[in-house]
Amino acid sequence: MHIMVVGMSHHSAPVDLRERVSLSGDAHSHVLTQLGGSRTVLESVVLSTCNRTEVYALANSTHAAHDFILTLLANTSGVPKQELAQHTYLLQGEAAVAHAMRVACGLDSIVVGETQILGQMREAFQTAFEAGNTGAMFNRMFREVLHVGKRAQSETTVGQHPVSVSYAAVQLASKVVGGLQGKVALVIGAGQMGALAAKHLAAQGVNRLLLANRTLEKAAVLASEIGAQALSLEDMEAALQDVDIVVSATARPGYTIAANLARQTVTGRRGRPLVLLDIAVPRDIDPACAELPNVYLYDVDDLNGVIDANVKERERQAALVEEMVASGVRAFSDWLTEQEVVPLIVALRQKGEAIEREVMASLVHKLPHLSERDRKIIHKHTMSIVNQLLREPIQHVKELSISSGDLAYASMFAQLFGLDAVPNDDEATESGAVRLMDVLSRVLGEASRQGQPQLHPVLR
Amino acid sequence: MGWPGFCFDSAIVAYAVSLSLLFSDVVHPNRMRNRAAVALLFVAFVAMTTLLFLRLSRLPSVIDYSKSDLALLVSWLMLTVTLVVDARFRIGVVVFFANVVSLGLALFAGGLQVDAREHWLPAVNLLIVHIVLAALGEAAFAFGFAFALMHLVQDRHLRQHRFNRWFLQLPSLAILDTWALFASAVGCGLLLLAMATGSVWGDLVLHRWLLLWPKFIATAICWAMYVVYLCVRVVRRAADRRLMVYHVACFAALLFNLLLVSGRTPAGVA
Repeated sequence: MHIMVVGMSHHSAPVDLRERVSLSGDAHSHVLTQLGGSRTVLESVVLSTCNRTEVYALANSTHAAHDFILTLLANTSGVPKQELAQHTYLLQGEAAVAHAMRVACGLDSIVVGETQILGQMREAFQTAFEAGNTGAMFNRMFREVLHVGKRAQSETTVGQHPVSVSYAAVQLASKVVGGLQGKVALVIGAGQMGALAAKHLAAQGVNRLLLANRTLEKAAVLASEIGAQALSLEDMEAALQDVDIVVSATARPGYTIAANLARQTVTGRRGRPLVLLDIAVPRDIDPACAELPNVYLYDVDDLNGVIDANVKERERQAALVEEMVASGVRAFSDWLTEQEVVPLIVALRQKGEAIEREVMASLVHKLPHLSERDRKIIHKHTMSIVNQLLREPIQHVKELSISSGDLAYASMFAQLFGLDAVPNDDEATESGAVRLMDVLSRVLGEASRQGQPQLHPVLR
Repeated sequence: MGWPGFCFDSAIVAYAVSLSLLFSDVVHPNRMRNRAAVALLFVAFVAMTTLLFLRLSRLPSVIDYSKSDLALLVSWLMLTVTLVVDARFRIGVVVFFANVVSLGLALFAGGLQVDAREHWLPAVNLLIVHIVLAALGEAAFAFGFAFALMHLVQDRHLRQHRFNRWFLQLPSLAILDTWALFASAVGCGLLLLAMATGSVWGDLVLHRWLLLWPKFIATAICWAMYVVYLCVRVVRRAADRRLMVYHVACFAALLFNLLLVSGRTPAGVA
């Protein structure tokens, strides 16, 4: 069996193709129904968002399943299969599981660390589960995927470091005044940059937003759109006294806020800090303002510096998430191995109990005078012998199977205790040539993985 | 060396290594280092708890404490509060800054282990209340000091336009200012109560008010310094760099009072 993902995202396909392939409502249900009715695909989950369409599948043959999924997507979207093949990716085994986890963590999103994708992944799994497209394998795998996604959100700050100029400006102002709620902001300039800044500040929930412009009418139009108060540049000077944050974005030469004006403003503020964000080129605010007490002045270069710091921080946090992904893949691999050892353990316990029953029957036959209480005591002790004998071998075979990642130890264990060999579906279904290729690829793979714990064969 | 020495050394080593790992985790995040740092903080907590227990159990009376015991108790309170709060709210760099202060106090405690003590004191209950209030007040001031330090560091980043990882991790100036104000207000209230209970105890036991006792005068000066900080802060509505430097000076005065001013009363009581 192979776990695989066939899909397209912003990495592999342009937006016009992505929107044609995107599956919503009936198309999504149709694809799930087709996958569920197929004999090629054993389990499946379909994830479709504005930036990606992916089909996660558990299949006996990767080649056949890949072909089937491409045909299905081509038929549903009307995009030629050849074109689809050029813009989709196919990942298998460990890469497919790790990819699902990266997607759930937002590492594969356009805005790295965005949190919406985790909800979309959860919904995709829930829909597939309700449609009966998932079984034990995918139920467990997606449980692990969602768990890793949740951990990435709660244990790291991968999504909390904005990388746009307007967010960087808000972040910088917040580092001084501590959040924009309840604060008074002033935007100078009603041009394109000023309008963007004003809209962003309004969206951040400032208590009062003032909009000053040389032409009052232009400011009034924009102010009525976003619920701000329009001012002329002359009135702005008086209003500065109550303001916490100033964003200046005019295109006119000269300073909108000179050092003298800022000095007068600071005098009456009783130590309350004033953040001046100058996003205009040439600059609008006199650089000498930065020397004043309780005034924090930043220009476009500073905002770029904040963005650089945020990008680096995201990279650092992404490295932490990658560690979580690796540990999630490992946990899923361990679970897969355990599932194959469990029947063996059950068989061994049953054999032990059967031997104990035979011994008890023989004992009762030879010692008929034993009372019911004596029999119970002897039964309890013989069972204790069986349990104590089996405890360590069972523990060791579980640990060895998980650390080796294959069933060699389990098979040896079965032979030692005279049990039936561990069933291996691959051996039953795959041809000799495929098996040879598998052995070779494992040997080559294992040569490069020396020193690392082995994953379950399904993930290799 | 004995068990107390072993516990003290273990606590200091675990504490120092843990803070180094926390620092390293802030500079370059690594889950293993972070977990190891928290585990070592817990080791330091266990060692300090054991040390406090050993020290207090060997005293003839709970109130027969030394400056070293008090410094250790304040350090232990800070460590405990940061561990408990971090487990619930993940306060990140606050753990680092608060525990740097706490480690400093623990190191001071190690250097002040020899102290003259009286072995019998009347009106013990009142004195225990006084000690507990004073220890809690000093712990609150120590937290306030940690927040003031963080404020100064963050202000430096914002003034010099240094947008590094510390800048991203540290809370905003407004939040640090509020926390420092809150911690200092709590500390002032507790210290005032501690001074009041101490004075009443002096009246009951020594039959006179200890207004000219050096310890009382030094404590009153520290308290007044903090009250000045609170008044200026409330009037100004926000703290600037100079006020935070003054806050640090207040804590330096408090440390001087705690560790260097004689705690002996006119009757020779510690």
